[in-house]
Amino acid sequence: MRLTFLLWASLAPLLPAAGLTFPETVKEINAPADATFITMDFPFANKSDKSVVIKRYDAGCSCVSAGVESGKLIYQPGESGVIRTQFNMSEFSGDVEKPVYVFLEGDTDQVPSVVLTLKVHIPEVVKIATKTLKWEVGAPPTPQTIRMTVEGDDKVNIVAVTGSNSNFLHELKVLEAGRSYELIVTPKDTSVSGLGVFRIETDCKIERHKFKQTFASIRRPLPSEAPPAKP
Amino acid sequence: MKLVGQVAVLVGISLSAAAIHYRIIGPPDREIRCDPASLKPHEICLDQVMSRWQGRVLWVDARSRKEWEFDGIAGSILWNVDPAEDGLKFEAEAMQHFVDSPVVIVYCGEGNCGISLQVAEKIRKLDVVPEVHALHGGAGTLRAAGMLKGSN
Repeated sequence: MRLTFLLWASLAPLLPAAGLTFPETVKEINAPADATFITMDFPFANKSDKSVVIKRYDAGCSCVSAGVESGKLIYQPGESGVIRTQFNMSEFSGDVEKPVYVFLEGDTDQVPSVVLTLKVHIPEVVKIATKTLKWEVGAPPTPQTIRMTVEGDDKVNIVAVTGSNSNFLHELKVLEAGRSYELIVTPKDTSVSGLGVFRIETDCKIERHKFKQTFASIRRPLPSEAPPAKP
Repeated sequence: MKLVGQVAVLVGISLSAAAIHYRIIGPPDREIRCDPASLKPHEICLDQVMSRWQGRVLWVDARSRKEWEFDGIAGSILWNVDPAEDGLKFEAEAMQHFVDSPVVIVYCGEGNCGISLQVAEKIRKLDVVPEVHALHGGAGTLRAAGMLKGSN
């Protein structure tokens, strides 16, 4: 018995990495608006003729945790298991794609054998089409519009919009109550740079979706944004 | 008793081997290496930040407020994903800096913490900064380069 263990221990690091077979490496889900965590399972099997050791996972984001459901890391030929991933979506909205890298014994530090992908659509409740309106310094002070649409079955009303900068006039237009709105922003003076913050308050019952924010900026073009010089 | 003796012999052999290794090879290499070829999307090496923009970038510290106050890069701003912080306030305050910043580099804790990629993604969605990257190696790389307060 002892001899067997010693032989196994001395030879284990020399075993070549073999593959795990995943029926699905990409999973897509529509998350409910009030969810904070989403769990996705990735079943796998060792269909090779060698044992496979799962060395580590790298989710590349503190918002995703991953682990083998049973905690088992060595899989003999024919054995199967499930990698369970959990995505903390409290800081996200919209379409989010997160990879989970699974490194097997024998992989280099940079190249994992398996990349699992979590695709999650997180309802924004109030979807804001443009996050930042922009004017260049000296440009005509023409009005610009931000379209806001309510996603999902429940109606959500925008109850107030407050602006931080009196140089930006704003007007909220109700296109369809509880469904569709427009925020029209007009700068009074574009001769100086400035930033306006608009805080949008809704009557959404889910606390983290109650307030939204959007911006208006007047600025000089950054050097990297300037058009190339003509020869 | 026999078992204790065997364990002692094994420990002795291991320690001797470790000491010889340390003497000949030296201490373990803890340097954070950055290979541009193996970076994740939107990650960047410190060498690239220094060569492309000579370090003239806006640094965003994605660590905890306590860590940022302790040794954050001079001139850096704080934006993390701590649930105890106000995300909308971070966004509004950061925007004041972003409108004049062509390049933003986000760093988080030691090694591969991933929060910097998360914060960089939020900044990109504001659609106001042309170049947003997460620093490979995070604060560990900056500390090794003497760029964190008190590390040089």
